[in-house]
Amino acid sequence: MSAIAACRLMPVWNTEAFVQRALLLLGVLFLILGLLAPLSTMLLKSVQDHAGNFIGLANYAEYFTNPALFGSIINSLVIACWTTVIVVTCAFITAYALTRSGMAGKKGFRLISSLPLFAPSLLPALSMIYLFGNQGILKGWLPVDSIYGPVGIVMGLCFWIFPHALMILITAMSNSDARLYEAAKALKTPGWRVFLTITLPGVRYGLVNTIFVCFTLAITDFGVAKVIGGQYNVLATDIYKQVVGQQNFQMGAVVSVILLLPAILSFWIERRVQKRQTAQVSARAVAIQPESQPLQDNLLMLFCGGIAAFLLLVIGMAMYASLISFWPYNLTLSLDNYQFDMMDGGGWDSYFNSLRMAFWVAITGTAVIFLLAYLNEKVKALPLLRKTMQFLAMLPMAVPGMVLGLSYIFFFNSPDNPLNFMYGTLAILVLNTLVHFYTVCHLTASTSLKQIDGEFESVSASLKVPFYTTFRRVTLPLCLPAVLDISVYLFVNAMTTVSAVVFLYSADTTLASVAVINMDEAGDTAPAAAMAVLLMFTALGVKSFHWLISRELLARSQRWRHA
Amino acid sequence: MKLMAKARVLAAALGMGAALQAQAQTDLTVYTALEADQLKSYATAFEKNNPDVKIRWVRDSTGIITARLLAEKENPQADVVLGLAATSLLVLKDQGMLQGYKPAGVEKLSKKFVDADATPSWVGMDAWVASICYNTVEAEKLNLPKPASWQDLTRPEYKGHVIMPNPNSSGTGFLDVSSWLQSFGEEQGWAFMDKLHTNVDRYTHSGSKPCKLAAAGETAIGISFAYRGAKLVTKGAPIEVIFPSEGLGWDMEAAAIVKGTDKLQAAKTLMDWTVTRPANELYNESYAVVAMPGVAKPIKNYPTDIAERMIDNDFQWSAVNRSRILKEWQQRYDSKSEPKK
Amino acid sequence: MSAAPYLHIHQLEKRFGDFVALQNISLQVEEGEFVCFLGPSGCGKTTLLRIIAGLEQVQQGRISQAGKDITRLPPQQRDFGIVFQSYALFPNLTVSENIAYGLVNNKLSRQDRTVRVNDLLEQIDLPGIGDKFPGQLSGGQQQRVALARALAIQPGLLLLDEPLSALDARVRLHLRKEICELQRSLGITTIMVTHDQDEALTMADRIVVMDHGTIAQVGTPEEIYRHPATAFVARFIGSMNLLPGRVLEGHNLLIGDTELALPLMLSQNVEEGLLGFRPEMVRVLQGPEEVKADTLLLQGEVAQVNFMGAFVRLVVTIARNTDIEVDLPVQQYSQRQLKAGDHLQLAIDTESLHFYPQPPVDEPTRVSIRQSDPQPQHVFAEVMDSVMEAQA
Repeated sequence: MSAIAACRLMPVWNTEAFVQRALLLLGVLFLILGLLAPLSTMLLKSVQDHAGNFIGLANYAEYFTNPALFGSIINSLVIACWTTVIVVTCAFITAYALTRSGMAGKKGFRLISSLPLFAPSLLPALSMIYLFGNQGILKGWLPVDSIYGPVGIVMGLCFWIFPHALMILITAMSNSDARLYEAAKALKTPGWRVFLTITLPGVRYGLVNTIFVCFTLAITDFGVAKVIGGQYNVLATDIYKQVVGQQNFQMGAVVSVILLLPAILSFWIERRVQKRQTAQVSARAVAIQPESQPLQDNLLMLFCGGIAAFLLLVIGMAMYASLISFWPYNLTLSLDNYQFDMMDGGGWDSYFNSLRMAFWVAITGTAVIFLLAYLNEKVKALPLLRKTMQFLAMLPMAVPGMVLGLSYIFFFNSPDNPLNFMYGTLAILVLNTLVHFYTVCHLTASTSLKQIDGEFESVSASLKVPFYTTFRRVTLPLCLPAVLDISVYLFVNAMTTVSAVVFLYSADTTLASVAVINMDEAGDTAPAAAMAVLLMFTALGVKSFHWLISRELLARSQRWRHA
Repeated sequence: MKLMAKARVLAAALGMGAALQAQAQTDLTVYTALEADQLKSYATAFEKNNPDVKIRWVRDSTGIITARLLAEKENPQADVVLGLAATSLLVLKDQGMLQGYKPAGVEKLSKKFVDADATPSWVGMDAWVASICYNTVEAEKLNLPKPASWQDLTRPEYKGHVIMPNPNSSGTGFLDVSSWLQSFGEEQGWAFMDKLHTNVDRYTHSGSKPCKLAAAGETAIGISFAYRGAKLVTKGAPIEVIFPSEGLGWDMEAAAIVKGTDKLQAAKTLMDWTVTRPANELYNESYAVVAMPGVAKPIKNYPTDIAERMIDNDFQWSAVNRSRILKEWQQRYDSKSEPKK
Repeated sequence: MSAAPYLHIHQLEKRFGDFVALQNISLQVEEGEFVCFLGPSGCGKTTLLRIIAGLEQVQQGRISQAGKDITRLPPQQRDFGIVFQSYALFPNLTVSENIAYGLVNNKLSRQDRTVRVNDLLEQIDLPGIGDKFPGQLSGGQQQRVALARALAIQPGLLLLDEPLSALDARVRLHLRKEICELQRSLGITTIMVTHDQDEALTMADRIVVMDHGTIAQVGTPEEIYRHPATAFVARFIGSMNLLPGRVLEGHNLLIGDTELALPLMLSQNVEEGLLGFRPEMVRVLQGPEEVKADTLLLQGEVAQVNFMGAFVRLVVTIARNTDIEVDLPVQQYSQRQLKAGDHLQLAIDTESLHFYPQPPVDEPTRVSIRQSDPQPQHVFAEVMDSVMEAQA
């Protein structure tokens, strides 16, 4: 027995296993430093006074006794609820039309409805000003007095969140089983009953998921409320005001914690729903072949046409306004508004900074996230570490950008922090953005890794081929589509994000999206719109480039797929 | 400046950082709340005479720059603050964040533009004054008479047509509030703002924005400052800059060295420049009142008697009461969604 | 047997948390031998294979291969090739690249590599498919490529994890033969995991039957078939009538309401047990006939006649609630023209009788006692299910 026991204590040195575990450990450390530590610092700040003394919940007490601040919670909830109801309804009908009807022009609708994904959330808000502002071309159509307030916020958010909701619902609806509908037809079930008993239950998880995604995006968004909120305060703008307007970092931390709560709650519920979702569609499910029903198709087409028109109107208005010399008194077209060097916000430098940042986020982010997802998926040892990793990888989804940005100030600007040197550099913006958009990339990577045969590593080991060779020769090529998706997702989001980085840019690292905010703040609405339009076209350009590249690359490296 | 920036982008793109550039010159990080369109000429003028110092501007509105400086108190990023409201610099001075320095030639400046200490912590540059931007086209459409005084703005016909900066973030906003409190007295001042509040459509983040919104017809009346109004008039906006009869609130733009800078020598060079005559002449392109007596010439779209219209501003009082005033203001007005008082 | 065994497994124990996956596993495999691990899913056979490969760690015990202790070695430092049920061929590499995958670090020249790959393709009887991708091959072809890839590095030990279970029946039969031939010609020590008894019986030199993480029996296919060591083995391999009975005095066993005098000595300290015999070992006597003295004689009535192709399976009621299966060659059946209700005299030789003493609670009693199951062959599957359930 003692010989056996001794044998247990003496594992043979295994370099590969050591490297894998060390990398995994580094990965967890990376996420702790990039996410958990800053968030903890922020929590700590919320229970301290200006001088850094512990004062318990006094800040919170102050918050809840200040009606102006407290009111923002209600405002945020109102905005989030309205946005969710409108977006989910519209997206549901559109998704239904795109997956279940014989409507014509589906491809075009899908293309148009994805456009907002490439725009910063500031763009619809700026566009609203030109559409429904006091000098707006459609001012008369507005049922309320002023676009500056909840109506404007909700409209802007609807534009921006719609494609997110649509994507989830399209996926959910494509996964249904045609045999259920055939069975219903055989039983002569009326259409409304089919809808209630088959269609709706079939997509219920997708629907719940959509609701929470919409709610979270709406309650945490900063850009729209900042530009068009007027005096209507929401939590995200409160954080900004507390921090940049009043230097009240402690109160900023308090609002952050409060904003974190609904986000974490909806995140938690969504995860639970996700867990129960497994295998609702059997492998033998038959895909639905939509039939054409002229009346229904035409109605749906009318609806989708309306949606598409709204999306194009918003984008078109921003583009048009950016080319007007002096709205509304001099409508001649000019490129004056693109002379960013004469405006606040860092000028053209900020645009190139954004490009650089997005480039580095895409490169380092794809590498780090994919590698860590790989290790998390393939390393069999250290279950506790992998669980921690999984949790940390999911967490960023629940952390609003404003909160993450503020946390970074607290954490990285402390002189006691050896990482302090990062403060004010491009590196901190890259790190912050990478962490901010971590979760979706991690899920994409994990999903594609899970689809790969789990025995590849075992086979390689038996053939005495080191894991990194198999990673390079097999795993990476197999996951190439996912890797490309991740990189372009990171690039586009890094270009358009504003909430987290608004606290972190410095003189050398002004960003285009922040410049939009700054120009709008300074009253330069048209140049702000110009920059937003520029950002959108850059993101679209990158996406098209990605599409071409991946088509080319996949055609060459993925011959086996079509073999 | 632009070339520099391009070179930086290039260098950084190549090697991720400009550290390897030959460093014959000192990069001076200067935090400022000057208007974006002023930065270039200031830097050019300074660097022409001091080629070994390069200015890196960090530009934001008064509130944000003040917030940043306070946030970075433990670990200052700025070497110099230039063109920031004196009330903000007084707050920084109270926090012990400023490095005293007596620039060569400071004695030529008017006394009220220089910190009273033997070694001044800050030196004033110019004064900017509150004013009203009034869109004549929109006012005519809406049938709004031209206001002549601050008190006029509280009249019911202006309801929903007035926009002013939020004092929490905007230096202009703060000087408005502090000047009203000083010239009307605290009680009267708050009463005035209560009434004004019912007419205000919204409070903006920056001091320029109300005037720009007035220029764009988004509002008829924007409470802003004279320089911005004058600029927009020149640009062709249908606005008129109104100087209310009760007197004009004003604040000083001032400069100071941030304590703890490792580029003290270059910082001093810049401070020395700020008190020179050419610098004051430059200020005069935007502002009618500058620190060096006898320099100011009348400027386009500005009234000539502006200095006489300025109220007797007590900066010390403003600085000491800054956080109290802001807090009170926020309690009263910061949410338009609250029932109006 | 003078030399030490090629693979020596000693007292292995493997736990996943609280679950004991393997317990008290000791086994010796000789060089060049073809051994099958046979058992229902969840019995631990795949885990044992993965432990031999170093893909799982053990809590206790030792493994040595060719005289070297490999218990703690990572897979990279062991000497084996492995083929998985899923083939695990790299889909983005061609067949040649797949086969050459492990050759790259052998410092072979490019030319030698090509030669070796072509040799292997010859060996698996698939010359000229080197440039295809795995996705272009049939399942059986993929399996052979996986085999070639494992053999390319000339391992001392070949591990096959259910290599044939994903293939359809015809291909499976063909590949069984081919793998056996290849194994014999290379003389490579091979361990194959399977849950298919036919596969094990036809391919293996020795079979290791596993049950609930332990080894139930080790032996040649014939030994295992003819002398199953436990009721589990008996039930798992082939068909076996297993009749629960209570031991009475002497040789007598009470089955249902019928007392049988057995031509066996029953241990007197056992109270209950299962009497087992294979259906094909039951002779149907033709009227009064001479039987040996030590033969068990049974009376019964035909309940069902099931035509199975090569033979006919009779279900015969020998006591109340007690049916047995009797397999009759078709020829004999045709002569007798048996039908339900016929009365039969049955005889079973002593050497075909097995008795497995055990407490009755552990035994599912439905093994042989059935009311009116119209399709008796399903019972076997049912038993399998219950065994699996018990292990899941």
